Parts: sequence; structure tokens; C-alpha cells
Amino acid sequence: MANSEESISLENWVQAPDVRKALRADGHVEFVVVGVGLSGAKSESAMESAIEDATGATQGRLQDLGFIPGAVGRFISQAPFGEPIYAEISETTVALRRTEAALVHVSNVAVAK
Amino acid sequence: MSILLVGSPNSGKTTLFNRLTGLGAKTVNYPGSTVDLLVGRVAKSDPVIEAVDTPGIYSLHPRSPDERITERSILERPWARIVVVVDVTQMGRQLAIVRQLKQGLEKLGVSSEEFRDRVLVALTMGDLLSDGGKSLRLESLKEELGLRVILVPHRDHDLENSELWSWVHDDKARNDTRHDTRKDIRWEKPELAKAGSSVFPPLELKESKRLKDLVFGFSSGSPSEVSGGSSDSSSNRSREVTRKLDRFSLHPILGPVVFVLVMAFVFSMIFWAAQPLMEIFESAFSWASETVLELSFVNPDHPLTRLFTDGIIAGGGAVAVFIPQIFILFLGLVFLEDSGYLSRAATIVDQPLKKVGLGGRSFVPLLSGFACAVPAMLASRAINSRLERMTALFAIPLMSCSARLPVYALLLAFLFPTSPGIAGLVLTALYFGSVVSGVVAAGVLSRMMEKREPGLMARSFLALELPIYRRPRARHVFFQAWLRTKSYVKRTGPLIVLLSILIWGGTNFPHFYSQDPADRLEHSYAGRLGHYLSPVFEPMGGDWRTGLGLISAFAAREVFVSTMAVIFHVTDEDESKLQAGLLGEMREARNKEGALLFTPASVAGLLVFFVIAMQCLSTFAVATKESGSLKFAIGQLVAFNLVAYFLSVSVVQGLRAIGIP
Ligand SMILES: Nc1nc2c(ncn2[C@@H]2O[C@H](COP(=O)(O)OP(=O)(O)OP(=O)(O)O)[C@@H](O)[C@H]2O)c(=O)[nH]1
Ligand SMILES: [Mg+2]
Repeated sequence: MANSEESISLENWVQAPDVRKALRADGHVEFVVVGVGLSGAKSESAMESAIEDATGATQGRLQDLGFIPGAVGRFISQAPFGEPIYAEISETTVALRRTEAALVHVSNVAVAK
Repeated sequence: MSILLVGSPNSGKTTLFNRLTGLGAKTVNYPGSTVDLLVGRVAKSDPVIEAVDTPGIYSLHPRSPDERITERSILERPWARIVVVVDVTQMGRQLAIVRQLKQGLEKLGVSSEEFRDRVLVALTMGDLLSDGGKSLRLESLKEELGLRVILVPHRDHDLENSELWSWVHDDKARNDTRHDTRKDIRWEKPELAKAGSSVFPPLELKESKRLKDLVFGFSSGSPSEVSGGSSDSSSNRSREVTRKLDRFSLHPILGPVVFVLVMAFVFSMIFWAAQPLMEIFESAFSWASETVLELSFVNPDHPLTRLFTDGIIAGGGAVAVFIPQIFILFLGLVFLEDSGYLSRAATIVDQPLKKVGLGGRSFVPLLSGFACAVPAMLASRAINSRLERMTALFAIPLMSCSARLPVYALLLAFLFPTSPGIAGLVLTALYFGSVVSGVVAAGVLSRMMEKREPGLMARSFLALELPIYRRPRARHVFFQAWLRTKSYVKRTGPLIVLLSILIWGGTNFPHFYSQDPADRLEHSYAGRLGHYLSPVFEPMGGDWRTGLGLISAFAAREVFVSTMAVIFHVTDEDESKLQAGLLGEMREARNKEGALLFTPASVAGLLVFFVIAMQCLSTFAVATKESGSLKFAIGQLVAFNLVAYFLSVSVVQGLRAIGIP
């Protein structure tokens, strides 16, 4: 679905140095959703998600929650040990596991502020 | 005729249901609080109109057992009208269900006119908008959706005379509808309805966001997203407050600290807040039994008098003194439920729980297990993966439910008569122990199930919504806690009275008039039966009397306390306080060999037994139903009780071996 040059999984995006820096400075960082799906990211958790997501339920729920192409979200925090990841999307705060964040692809443009 | 209330989780369906029916169904600031259909009669409806509350759904494509119930109630259960409940502050997402519903029903042969007549969109939480929702452009939304759209009146106001009220009662609606909305809807293509949710198209969130912009009066392209922040007229104070609080509650380091503090506060409140109330209860019961004995026409030695004072008042009172603690426990839980913190707590324990086959979504079911395992097991329906759900069902009975509280409190008061502070700490330790035992049980079960059925590996997802923080309303919190305490008393009260009478009869007859109380007890029906039991309970440091208490506790755990009270006749006239009387008798009780019956070791053994044993038949019944497997429930019952017994024996023997009597 998503071309890996333009997009990056939310899981990896939250670890990017400039994202972390912006988070420390402002308390939140915005991202733009490119899509939800398996292709693209190749992290370990993405593989894990591939197995766990056999039913497609997770992808479906993510879309229901508002992770649709073009949606603007806000990364706000992470629980200890990096999981779950907290983000705001379409008027809702949600908590995602890494395996779930690995399914969300966000735009890979540098964080502008 | 029935009206279904459907909509996103936490949109206020149950709150609306309660307002329509006048009932007091449980509302929680957590997505997924309702897990079954609730049916109630709409107030003042004649002929009867039924309101049906459903579990919340994110979309009409169900992804967990509770969502499936809603999908089925739309497709398979008869209904005449539907209210789609939408939280106005999350309209951009929640409105999408309306269109999904419409397109699905169209496929089943429902025309748009009929849809318009039968469906209404109710916007809730208008009070959270800065102007109470006055500036919303509802007209344009009506036009776009082709439906009636109403803003639900503020919670403090009456629903009567509102547009919603007359629609529900079908007053005005009758004139301008072509369809008889009092008759149930009929599918033209019923075979499609059987096919299930596949008739519903995917959600169209873009469209619902456009509608939201329209209602709030944004021109297209303006930042209506969360990112908009201050320029957004839909932004409301509660959302801002929530963001501020979340800086702490979702902070990587402070988050867990907050979690521990909140939990510790709720559970430690059970002691210190309950103490003064308990004393009032105690005095009331002793006063009652003294007053009866002093009545001039009462013969204090008549069997009926004794039945009343030594059986019913002693047994019932011994448990009743703990009602304040149970009330405080409920108070704490309702407070948490109302605040919105439950979701946050669930995400914080998600990682640790995942290690034992559970997850964040099991947190709320497990936590409600501290009140009672039965609703807790029902709450597990909101867990989407079967493995996780079965694991949660398995661990829930180990959470120390409110029925154990009287037992713990009595035994701890025995162990630490002079230091309530230490008793408090040990109680906290017992709660902690119950969590540990639950975690161990979950780990064991999930590993076993994974081995046997590798397909279950399809793990659950978390993807949990965190609702906004709401200030718990004092009246609501007290009322709910009171309702739950009342239903607790109603449920166990009769059992306790009944068993107190049986135990009293069993321990006093046939030699009721024997002068020697020891002889009377030894040769009573219960005493004779008990001698067969004593070999089982001796290793636990007990004798047949403790055994009788433990067995009667299978009716309800707190019956242990009332049984002890009846066996040890605590209403001796010279005893001023019930509990003190019971403790005094327990301190002096001796077994056949003349050794003390209740020693630190044997009481510790009893505590361990109660932490683990599954002594509740209703839990067993619900476990059978919810797991869909009698084998599972029997396995659980046998395993927990065997482990409880052997652990308790080892504790008693171990303590004795190191010199603690
Ligand atoms: N401020 C405000 N809060 C509301 C209103 N209606 C409901 N609430 C609160 O919102 C929370 C959720 O309400 P519920 O009625 O339990 O929601 P539900 O739609 O039944 O939720 P599920 O059963 O989980 O699908 C509760 O804490 C309510 O007290 C409202 O009109 N205004
Ligand atoms: Mg509900």
C-alpha cells in the first residue's frame, strides 16, 4: 500500500530522533496518516503483527478509530518501556501496542514546526 | 414494540436508556461497559414501548463478542425504531455509523423514506460544548442525513416535553410518517440479514468528518482535526483538562506512579473510612438482640427466642457489621469508573499482563472481580481474543471479591486485635496476594491453552480508546454505590439468614435442653456429621466446626462468618459487642485434645484458603456459560479448591514447624 520512501510505520516514526526532540519541546507531535496495512514496514513487530492479525480485526479496528489516509493525529506519550503508544486521532485518545502501531503508516516528512 | 439504542462505545447510550426508562443501569466512563442487551419499559408509555440498550460498537463490523450482540440485535431481533446515539464531541467519528446503517438496511430492502421514519440521531454531551450546543447547525445535518437529529437535553433536565420524548412516544411522529413505526420492521430480503454484517459497507470517516465541519460551521479545509486546538470552536474545556491531566497519568514514569497511588488509595480506604461506620452497625445489632431478650413477654430460654438471638441476629449481624466496608469498596470502584481513569490504568498494566496471556482489556474485568466475580465475568465479553478472554475468565475468581471481605476482616481482627494498622497492611497484602495468584493462574492456563490449541495464538489487540476525564458526580457515585450495596445485601442476606437457621438447628438439636453446652454441641446433628469431616480439616489446624464453616461457605463465602457466630453463640448477654464477643469465643475455643482451635497458624491457613478457594456456585454457573464449556468451569472449581486446601495445609504445618503455634 504505502511506499516506504514516503511513509514510515508509526511504530518507527515515534522513535525517530527529531520526533522525540519535538515531543520533549512541545509535549506532542503531529503526524499524517498515509494508511493502515501490512506492507512497507519490516520491523520485527510488523512480522509479529502479520501473524496476530490473521483475522484483519486489528486493521479494521484501527480504521474504525480514525486511522484513515489524510487524518492528522498527535503523538502524545508512551507508557514505560515504550508500549503502549498514546496518540490522539479524530477527537479520540487511543493507546496502541507496538504491533498495532506497526500497522499504521504515517508520512515520513521531517517534523516541521 | 421496541426501540434500539445503538452507537459508539461510551457515547451515552446507557445514560439515555436510564433517562428514558427511569432504571439505574450501570454507566461507566469506559468504552465497553455495557456487554449485554438491557431491556426496559419507557416511562409513561402506553401501550408499552420497550427501550433496548446495546453494547457500544465502533462500526457495524463487530470485532468482539459484545459488538456481535449489537449487530445481531439489529439484524435478527424484532425492532420498530432505532436511536443512533452520538457523542457530539466525537461526532466526526461516531456519525459514520448512521450512513453505514442506512446503506446496510437499504440492501435489506428498507427504503430511505422508511429509514427516515424509523431512525433518529440523538446527540449527547452537548453540555461539554462551550455554548451548550446552541450554535450547532442541526438543520444542515438533518438535510444531509435526511433524518431527524436532536440534541439530548442536559442531564439535569427532564426529558419530558423534549423532541426526543415525543418521538419515542410517537406523538408527533405519527402524523408525518408513511410507515407504521409502531410495527416491527420487516426485511424484504431476510436471507441477506442472515448473512450478517457483510451487508454493511465500510465506515466512511471522511464523510462524517465533513458533516461535523458542517455542523460546527467550519469551511472545508479548516482545521477541525484534533490539531486545531484553540481555533476550534468545538474544542471544549473537558478535552483541555483531559490533556493536562494526561501529562501526568500517561507520563512514561509518572504514569505508573499515579497508578499505584490511585489503587493503593482506593483499597486502603476500605479500612480507615469504614471503621466508624462499622461501630455503629455493631452497636445496633447488639442493641437489637438485648432488646429482644429484655422484652417482658419473651422467655429467653424458649427455642424461638434462641433461634432469633443466637441464630438470626448472631449470624446476620456478624456479617452485617462488614457492610460499611463493602460500601466503601463499591464507592471507590464507582468513583474510578466515573472518572475515566480505568482506561488509562488498563493501558499501564497492558504490558505486564500480556506476559501471562492477558492484556489491558482484561484489566477492567479483573478489577470488577474485586467487587464480585459474576459481573466481572460478563465484562470479559469486551475482550476480543478468545485466548485472552478464557484466561481472564479463569483468573477472575481469584480476585478477592467483596464476599471475602467479612471473612478477612474477622480473621485479621483475631490475629491483630490491638493494631488495626497492621491488620490494614495485611489486608492490602492479601489483596496483593490475590492478584499474584490470579497472575500465576493466568500464566499457567494460557501456556496450557497455547500448547493444546496453537490457533489461539491469534492474540488480542489493545487499540483502546481513552475517554475524556469527567468529574465524578458525588450524588451519582453515592447512589450507585448504595444501589450495589443494596443488591449485595438482597442477594446474600436471605442466604445468610437461611443458613444461620439451619446451622443453629443443626448444632442445637436434638439435645436442645441439655444442660452441658459442650455435650449439646458434640451430640448435635451437625456435630455427628462433623466427626466424619474432621480428618479432612485437622491438617489445616481446624476441627469439624471450622470444617462446617468452610462447607457452609460454599453457599456464599461470608456465611463462614455467620456460621462461626452461630456455632460459638456470641450473643451471651454479658457481651456488649458482637464482634468482640465472637472473637472472645474464638480465642477460647478448644478442640477435642484441649488445644486451642484458633491459633496464629490455623488462622493464617484459613486466610490462605479463602484467598484461593472458589466457593461460589453462581460464579461456577456463570463460568460455565461464559466459557461455553462445563469442563472449563469444573476444572477451575476443582483446581482452585485443591490448591487452596494444600497451600493452606502447608502454611499451617510450615508455621508450626518453625515454632508458631
Ligand atoms: N457530560 C456528560 N456526560 C455524559 C452524558 N451522557 C453520558 N455521560 C457520561 O459518559 C459516560 C459514558 O456513558 P454511558 O451511558 O455508560 O455510555 P454507553 O454509550 O452506554 O457506553 P458503552 O456501554 O460502553 O457503549 C458516563 O461516565 C456518563 O456519566 C452527557 O450528556 N454529558
Ligand atoms: Mg452502555
